[in-house]
Amino acid sequence: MLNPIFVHIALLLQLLLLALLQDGLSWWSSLVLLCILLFKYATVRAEKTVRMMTVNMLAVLLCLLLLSQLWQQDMQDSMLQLLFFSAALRLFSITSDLRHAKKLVWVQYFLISTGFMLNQSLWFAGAVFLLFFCNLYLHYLLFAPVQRRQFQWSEFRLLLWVMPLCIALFVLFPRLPPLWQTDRQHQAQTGLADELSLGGLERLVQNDSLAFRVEFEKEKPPQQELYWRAKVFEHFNGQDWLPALLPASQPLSPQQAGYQYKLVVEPHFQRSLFSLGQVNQFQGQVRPIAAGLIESYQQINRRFSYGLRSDGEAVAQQNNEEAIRNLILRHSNPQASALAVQLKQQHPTASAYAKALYQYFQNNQFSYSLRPPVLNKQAQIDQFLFEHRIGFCGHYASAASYLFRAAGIPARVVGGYQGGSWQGAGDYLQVLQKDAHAWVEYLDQGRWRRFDATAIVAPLRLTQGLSDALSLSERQFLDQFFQQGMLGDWLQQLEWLDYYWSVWVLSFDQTEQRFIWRHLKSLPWVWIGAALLAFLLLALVVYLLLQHKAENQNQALRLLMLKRLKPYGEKVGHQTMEAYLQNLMLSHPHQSKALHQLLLAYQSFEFAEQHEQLQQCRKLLRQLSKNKLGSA
Amino acid sequence: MTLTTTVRQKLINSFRQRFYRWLDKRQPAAKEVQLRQHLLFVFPTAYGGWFVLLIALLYLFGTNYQNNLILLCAYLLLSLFCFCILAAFFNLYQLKISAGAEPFGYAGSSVQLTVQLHQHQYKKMLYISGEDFTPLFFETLPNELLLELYPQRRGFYQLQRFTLRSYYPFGLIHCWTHIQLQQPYWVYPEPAALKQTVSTKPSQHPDHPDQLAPYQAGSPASAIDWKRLAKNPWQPVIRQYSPTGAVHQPRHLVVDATGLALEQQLSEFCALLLQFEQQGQSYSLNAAGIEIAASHGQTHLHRCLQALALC
Repeated sequence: MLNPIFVHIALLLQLLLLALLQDGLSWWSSLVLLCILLFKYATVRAEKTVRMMTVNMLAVLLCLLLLSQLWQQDMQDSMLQLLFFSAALRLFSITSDLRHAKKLVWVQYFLISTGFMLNQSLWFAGAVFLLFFCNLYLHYLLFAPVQRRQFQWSEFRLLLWVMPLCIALFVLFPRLPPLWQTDRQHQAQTGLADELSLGGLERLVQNDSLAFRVEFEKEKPPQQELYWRAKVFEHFNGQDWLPALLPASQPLSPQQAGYQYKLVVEPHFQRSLFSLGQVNQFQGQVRPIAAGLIESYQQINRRFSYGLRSDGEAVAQQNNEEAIRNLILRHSNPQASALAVQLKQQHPTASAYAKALYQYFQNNQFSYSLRPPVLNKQAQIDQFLFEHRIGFCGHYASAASYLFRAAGIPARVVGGYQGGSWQGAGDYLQVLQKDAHAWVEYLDQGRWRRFDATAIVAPLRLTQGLSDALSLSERQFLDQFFQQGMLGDWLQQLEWLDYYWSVWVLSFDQTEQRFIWRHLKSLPWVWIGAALLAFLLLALVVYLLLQHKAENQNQALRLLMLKRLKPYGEKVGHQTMEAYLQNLMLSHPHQSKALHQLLLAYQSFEFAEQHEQLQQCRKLLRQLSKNKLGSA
Repeated sequence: MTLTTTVRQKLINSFRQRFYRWLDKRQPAAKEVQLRQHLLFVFPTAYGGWFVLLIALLYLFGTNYQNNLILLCAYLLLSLFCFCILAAFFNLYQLKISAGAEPFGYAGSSVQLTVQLHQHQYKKMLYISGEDFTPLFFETLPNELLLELYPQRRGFYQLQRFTLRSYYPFGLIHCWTHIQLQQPYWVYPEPAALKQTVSTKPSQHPDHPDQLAPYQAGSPASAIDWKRLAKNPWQPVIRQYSPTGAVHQPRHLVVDATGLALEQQLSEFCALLLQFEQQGQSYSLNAAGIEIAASHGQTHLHRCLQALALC
């Protein structure tokens, strides 16, 4: 017998699920699903049944539709849609027979769990788990008595045991690496662009979403040292800086590392990862690539975490080709080239040249803006350096890199993030998309030194963040994008919660598991065992003592009775207490009433364990012995 | 084809016999059975198997996409599965079943048998089935189980081993037990419709006031005047037959037929015995070497009927 409320709850659950899984469903499938669910609702309201023929036809139609869309969609999304269709259509075939309802619950378990493919943030996870437990309740309804819908406490108590077991499994159950490669064909929604064009970073900078979060082990670098390298652009085509394809990489040389830190990266659907300076050691599913960068083996399509150790040093030169490659200039900006040659003559060494460039940017009224005038000439660098003199990091990096190369110093543009804000009382660093930055690295004595012209033009940009570096009108322009509002503080707290959610739950992996096992092994098990044993023994002793005390009370009462009733007559050895009292009642008729009361009280104390009767017994005994003394 | 089926049948039969022998050794017939560990069987159902498949699939998914939350779901379901093992077990554990009185019935009609239950407050969704009664299902258990036994031939029977099972709480785990209660029951011969020649009804006036008396506890229920009871249910009245001449002489019945005639005779005698008892006559029986001296009353009637049943 199926509980009549089952269909209603299932319908509600699927509606909520439909709202939750919007990201994974195409617009037409959401629409179709909504129609199906509303249709089901209408039939439930009207208490009609739909013929199976109709449902089957609908199923075939939907399958065909799905097949036709198969090539345009991600496999994973198609699977999600197929599951959802089957769940929604299954609603129609539910009868009082449990067979179909069981299948529905099964499919819904699967469907709800796959929701985590789409999003793993704390709030989404909360909603999905809510639906999960809703489905659990549906499952319970299938096999529970029809009249009763609530869990009983006894069952609930048993169910509580499920949670610790689940957590223990989560923490201790062995984890495996991925069994096969699963790349998600997704367009990058956020993150770094594959090329740096003059104006490209602008779009990124207005994005207030989270890029990644970092937790430092011991030492924290100063704010102006927080240059998170992600990409290196070495090929310049006159307008854009493009990354060169370089498979070569050198093994890392383990050295004394200054900073040890762990990063949790938001999905950006690329492989590039972030690092500080020269990386010496790494931990997690990452590998070092050319130019001292770090890359993951797979596209980052979920929150991903890894650990690094690096020193504050500049990145080392890897080979000679690197230097040659970073000298190539195919497009000419005559004015800039002339300036470079002139400066180079005055300052022959690379470091002196860099200083001179800093001075050049400082002394020529360059200014920082997120809305620079459009560069429309063929020689864009010239137009920027000698006409507009206004721009943001991309412009400065591009121009400086050109000036280095024109002077015969190998240089390249580096894209990444700069700075970040400390959260949770300085526990971790939060880097947002708006912290995206571009700077230059030039080769000097075998190391790629950093050159950031923006630091000269807008020094506050580095030490205090973007908004301080901008003028009031610029800030208002930005504020359109970063609405703080009243809830700002509160949202910050939630951010903090979300961070620990991702650190402790989402990025929990083999490494941490191994760490826990090592920790568990190193615990003083002998002492713990001994303490546990001692505790058990103590508990046993206390229990026995209590038991003994209870027994003692009975014994004491019996002795008291014998003593007080002695004047009335001795108890014969084998006589039971009841028989003794009966005898006394016969031999002392004038006391029989009190004796009878005593008998009753004694019986209810001894056998019905009514402890309040003990007082009654004592009172009666006192009265009886007084009476006897009086008569004597 | 037929050979394989017969071989399979034989194998199944021999296995079943061995299994029942093993059960008999494990749980010999008893007046009262309390369900303990050694009597309860726990095993996943088919749905439980599907559920395990679901867990495996989710684990695979979670591992492959390195998605901790899907893994968490898989672990949650796995621990739920483990919880079900315990819950299903405790849903039958410590239930006490005890045999009731020896019931009786007539051949061709069903016998009603009651079995007492104790410690059944939290037990739910139980199925009870056996070879000799219609299966029953209870959402919550009553104090007494009323089993309706299938019609049988006359005789003295023992309640067969029956099965108690539950899928509670999530239908993933199936807990069951096969119980042998020491619960005998009697099936008397079917009373025949009496012909007038056999009937020796004394002339009586059932509605005569002298022959009616108020009902007192212990009076035979068969003597209650049902028509009057319907009119006035608060004052039951019984018929008392005036001791006329025919009644004084004890009736003597001797079972002497054989073969097909025997059944016919037994049926007639059964009806006669019931009639004699109702009329308050004393009667004696001589059946298959058993001689029962003349007497009357419910115990005597049942002794006679039992003798008939065993002929």
